[in-house]
Amino acid sequence: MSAVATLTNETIRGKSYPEISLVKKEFLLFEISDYHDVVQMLNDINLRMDFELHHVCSELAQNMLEEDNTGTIKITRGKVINTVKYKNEEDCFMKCEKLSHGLQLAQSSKEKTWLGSSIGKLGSLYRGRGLSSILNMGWIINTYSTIDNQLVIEASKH
Amino acid sequence: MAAEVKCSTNVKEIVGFFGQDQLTSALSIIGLFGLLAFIVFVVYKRGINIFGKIVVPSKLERDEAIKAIKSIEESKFYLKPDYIQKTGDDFCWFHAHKGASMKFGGMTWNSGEHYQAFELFQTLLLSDNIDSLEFVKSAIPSKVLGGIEKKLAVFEGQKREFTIYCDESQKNFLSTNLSHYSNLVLEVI
Repeated sequence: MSAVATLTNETIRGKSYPEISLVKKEFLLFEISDYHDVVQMLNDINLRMDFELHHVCSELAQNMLEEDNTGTIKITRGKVINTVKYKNEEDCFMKCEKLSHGLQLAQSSKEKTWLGSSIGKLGSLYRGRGLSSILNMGWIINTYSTIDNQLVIEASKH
Repeated sequence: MAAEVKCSTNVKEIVGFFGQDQLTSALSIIGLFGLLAFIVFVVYKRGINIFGKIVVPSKLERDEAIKAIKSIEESKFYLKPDYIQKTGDDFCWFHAHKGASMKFGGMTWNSGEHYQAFELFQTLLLSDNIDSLEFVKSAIPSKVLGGIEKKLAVFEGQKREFTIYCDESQKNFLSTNLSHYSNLVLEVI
């Protein structure tokens, strides 16, 4: 499925930056099912809109895909809501636990995230870097699980 | 009057010494060489252009051609990106500039399409002689942030500074995320 940003039933794909600015709109919604959707979303929201917002959306969407999930990214004023859809209850439970553990680590850790132990292991070097970079910018991340195997990750500016 | 008589006497003496025919030939040859030198000079400066077709380029055209060749040569070695890919409507790219600094650009970096590129970026960044990085209208993906952190840790051990050129919002982002490293220098451009 391709990324479609809906805004009061209006598709905004392909329109220029001023038209998708949140100054006039209430929210933007992007469905993310693959990396092309991420690219489309990043093209649409544009760095000029807000560097931090761009970063948060990018990291949340990529985290979701790296864990082999799909979902949506909704952008409202100063807030990004990432709804992750899991395959089944078991998958939902395992990944929610993993995420909450990762969040706890990122929130409690005030030290350097690179400790020199992962030379040559690209994945381990980058693991958890996205969430901690969001927290370091002064954003707050809250998670809420829903009954239909979904998790809502809400990132808001402190 | 006296000077005219003396000059005329000198000419007569020279003509008498060389002979009139030889002198005429010598003067003709000198004149011919002079004319040829003038033609060559004009051609050198102005070139030859017949009905819009450049037969011999002018000095200006030659200088421009040399400049263009030099620029192409330089671009071959210094300006060609080490990685460039069109992603959506955007170009994601980076290159190591003259082996001393790196530039990084693009807003749509993602771990799906650019995983190998992140590895290449980190390898180049960790080269010993790379001591600065410039973000050119770009996002700063966490994977790049991880690479920078590693670079800073290596340079910290060597007591070296690493400079990052960026805009104001990128500076805020980098200063909060890399605040543990004292050897990071952030320059707003």
